[in-house]
Amino acid sequence: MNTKTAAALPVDLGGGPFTITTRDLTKRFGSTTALNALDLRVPEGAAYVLVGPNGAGKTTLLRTLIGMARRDHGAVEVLGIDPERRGADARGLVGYVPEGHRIGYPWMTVGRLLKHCEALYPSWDTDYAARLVDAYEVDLSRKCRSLSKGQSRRVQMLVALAHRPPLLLLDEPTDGLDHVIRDVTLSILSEHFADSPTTALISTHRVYEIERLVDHVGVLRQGRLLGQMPTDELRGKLRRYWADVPDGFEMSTELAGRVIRRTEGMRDIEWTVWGEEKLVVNGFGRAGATVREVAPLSLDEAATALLANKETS
Amino acid sequence: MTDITMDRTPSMKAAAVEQLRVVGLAVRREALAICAGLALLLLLVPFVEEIVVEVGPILNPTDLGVIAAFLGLASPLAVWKGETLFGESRLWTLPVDHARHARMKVAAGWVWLMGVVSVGVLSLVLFVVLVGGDAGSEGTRWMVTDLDAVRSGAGGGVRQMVWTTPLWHWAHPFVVATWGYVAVSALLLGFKRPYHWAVGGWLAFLAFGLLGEEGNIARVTSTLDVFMGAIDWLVFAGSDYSQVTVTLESGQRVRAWTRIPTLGSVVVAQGLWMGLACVSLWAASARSRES
Repeated sequence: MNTKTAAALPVDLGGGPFTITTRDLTKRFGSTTALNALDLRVPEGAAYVLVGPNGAGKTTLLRTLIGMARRDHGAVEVLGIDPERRGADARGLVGYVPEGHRIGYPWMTVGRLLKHCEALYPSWDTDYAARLVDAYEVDLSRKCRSLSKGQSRRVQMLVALAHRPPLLLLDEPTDGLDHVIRDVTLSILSEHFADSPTTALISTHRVYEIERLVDHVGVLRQGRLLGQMPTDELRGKLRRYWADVPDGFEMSTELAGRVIRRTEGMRDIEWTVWGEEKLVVNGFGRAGATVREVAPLSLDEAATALLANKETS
Repeated sequence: MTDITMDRTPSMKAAAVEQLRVVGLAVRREALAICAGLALLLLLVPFVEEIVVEVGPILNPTDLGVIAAFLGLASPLAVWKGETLFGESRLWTLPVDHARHARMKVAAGWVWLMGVVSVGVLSLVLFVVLVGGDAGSEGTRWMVTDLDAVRSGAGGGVRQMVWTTPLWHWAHPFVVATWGYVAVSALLLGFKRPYHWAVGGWLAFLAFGLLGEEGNIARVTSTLDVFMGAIDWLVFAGSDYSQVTVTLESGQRVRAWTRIPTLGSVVVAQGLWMGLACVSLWAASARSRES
């Protein structure tokens, strides 16, 4: 299935400005390295999706960005602030939806929880919070402990958005939401991005759900950032190719390093290759193959292909 | 609209007031249960009055020590309920410095604790007075004047003195509750498994008493005695452990004081231990420091 060669993906997003910058960020838990020399760049105003398998370090990264986890090495800047030194300032600028569904005090009603947040976030927008309560159909009289997974997630989203932070850190924001509420959430996020100049870093396994929202993607595996780029670049350069190949066909060396995935079907072979389409087609031609069809990948398919390739570096 | 330039952290006053409110809500049920119990006690006054005809009960501040200690030790559990201090606690996601916020929450809990202890003390004093008793003993105490004579058992070496409970003794339940509260708060903030540490510490203490003399119950008792003595010195500069049993020449056995703690000695003893508890609390909360 997979190629034996490595495909180098871009990690440089140019000169910025960046809302989030990490340099050589390393975080260990005992002998396990959760984040390994990570150089993440989230451009100002971007909606950046971070994809990666379980245990890739996504949640640890988000926790590090708001000072909830301490790094072992490297530097972090969130809106120009080092969250380890000025955690309170950083958290004031961030709307955070954690991976878990706990929303704080189980004994508290949702209405009181919102008042609690209002008291502690000077930028809390009461009118906006009320609109979100309506949109999410949140029952303010319910005790937090009685909320379902999906209801908790709605309240977490509400709390994250209502103080209109310049940066959103969303860890699996659609987890636990049914289809209707997921669509409501995506609409709310779209409107939020339009109304408020916001940068978002979204960690998710369900890329297809937020595909239309995001404009940058980062691929994280085993604590390493395999690549980060605008989604347009990913869609433009990562393509699926079907080709008629002669017996004994061997991929040319110029393309071998760009092949992300090779899948043998019943009747043909499918390649997922990184590179300019014209160059790839010519490369196939020089190796004696004739490209029959080229198709772009959805962001979700691209993420799956990149993560499936153990050789990607 | 988003304004990145504005200060997005609450003032210390706003954060402290909010913690006072939230902790008040957290302990509300327990506090109401205590108040209901005290109200019930006061409702019993007419019935108790009928039973207590001649000699009313005497309530000394030190008598309230055990209840106050229990309140102090248990209340941090109510204050911190629902918080996962070593996980994704809501407290840690808020725009307030972690260590400072934790200390604010402890302080808020202490304010409510002192409120509950005040209501408790006042209710019990009221109860005792209403049933014809005496809050704070007045009368005589035996004082040891010659310890050698007392130890010889021949009688003598003591004299009677007039005694009135000093007003400052009423600080006792508040101090005991505070010490217990601060110590348990430090335990909860400082350790991921506070109950393991508490039980482990207690078992270690008992094991220490057994060292060298395996199975010697007397040794354990003696160690416990030292421990209780230390607690006594902690909370009241040795009020109980400054007493000995004396046989008078008449053959009557009474409890006599070798020394009576003064306000100064109590302040020093309690200040020392309270300082230790506060330092522990500070160190435990500093675990979450951010700068």
